[in-house]
Amino acid sequence: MTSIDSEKIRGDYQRLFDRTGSLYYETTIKESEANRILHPRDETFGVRTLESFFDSDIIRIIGSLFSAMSKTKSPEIIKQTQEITLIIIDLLISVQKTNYEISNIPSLHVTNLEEEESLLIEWLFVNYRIGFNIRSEAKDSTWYLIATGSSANSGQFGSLSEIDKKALLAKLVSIILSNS
Amino acid sequence: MNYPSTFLKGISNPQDVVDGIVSAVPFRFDPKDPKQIRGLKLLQSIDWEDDNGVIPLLMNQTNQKGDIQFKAGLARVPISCVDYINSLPKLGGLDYEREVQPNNPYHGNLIIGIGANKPQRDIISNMLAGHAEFIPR
Repeated sequence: MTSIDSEKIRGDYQRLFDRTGSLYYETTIKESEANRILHPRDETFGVRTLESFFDSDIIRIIGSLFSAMSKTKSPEIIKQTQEITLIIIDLLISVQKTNYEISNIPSLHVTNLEEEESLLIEWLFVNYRIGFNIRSEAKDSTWYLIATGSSANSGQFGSLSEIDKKALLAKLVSIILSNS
Repeated sequence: MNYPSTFLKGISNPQDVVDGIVSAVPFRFDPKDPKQIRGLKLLQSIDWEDDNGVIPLLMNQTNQKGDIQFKAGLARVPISCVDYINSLPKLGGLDYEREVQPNNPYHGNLIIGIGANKPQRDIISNMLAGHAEFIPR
């Protein structure tokens, strides 16, 4: 990042956001690629293939999603997680294209709660946290954004089935970029 | 009944703490866990931070195998977050109690109705974790 002109960074960074503060991004993954990327049960698909698609920062951030999906039995949980995974990948690729540094974005923390037929995806930051509770019935899946510690009384949350996931994730990633 | 301003939650699994930040996993209400059910209520064990004695008591607590129970440490949560959670739309119904045990005078429970749906249970656990401060072992 230090080798890049700071004016250029500012310009690119501003172009990331629309007037509402949400992130502009392009869908860069083609449907045929998505099937290859998101085949967690395909034993011929391994780390090497992931690396052929993405750089190490993106793999670090999203790698736990693939690991969790490969252990998940519920097709509906896998389907929902795949959708979120692809959107996050698209967002991160778009951010990288602007030369914005993503190495300080923490890895997603994913917990497979098999007994509850649930997958908990958490993005944990010092001052706030973002999360997704993926349930086997999509109508029960939720998202949240909450400031932590003394500012924690400012949470937002809602159903994942009743919202435009691309718009939601663009907004959440824009918050991450603004605070990192 | 008097309550202190904070309660503690034991964290058994070190994977539930990431860089000093507590995951929502330890705060989940699980209706399939018989230990969490009492009549029409779901209970989640906590310990009231009445005085300085509670932390060493919990840190030294062992499970049935004789192993340290809370291997990761503890989470401290302000009781004020219960009012906050109850003020949120579509949530509410979170309560607490003191339930002294023979070997643990600090013990208590967080309580929700057994009819709380999955999204409500999930968001309540997310919010509790968001208020948590990690106390490492």
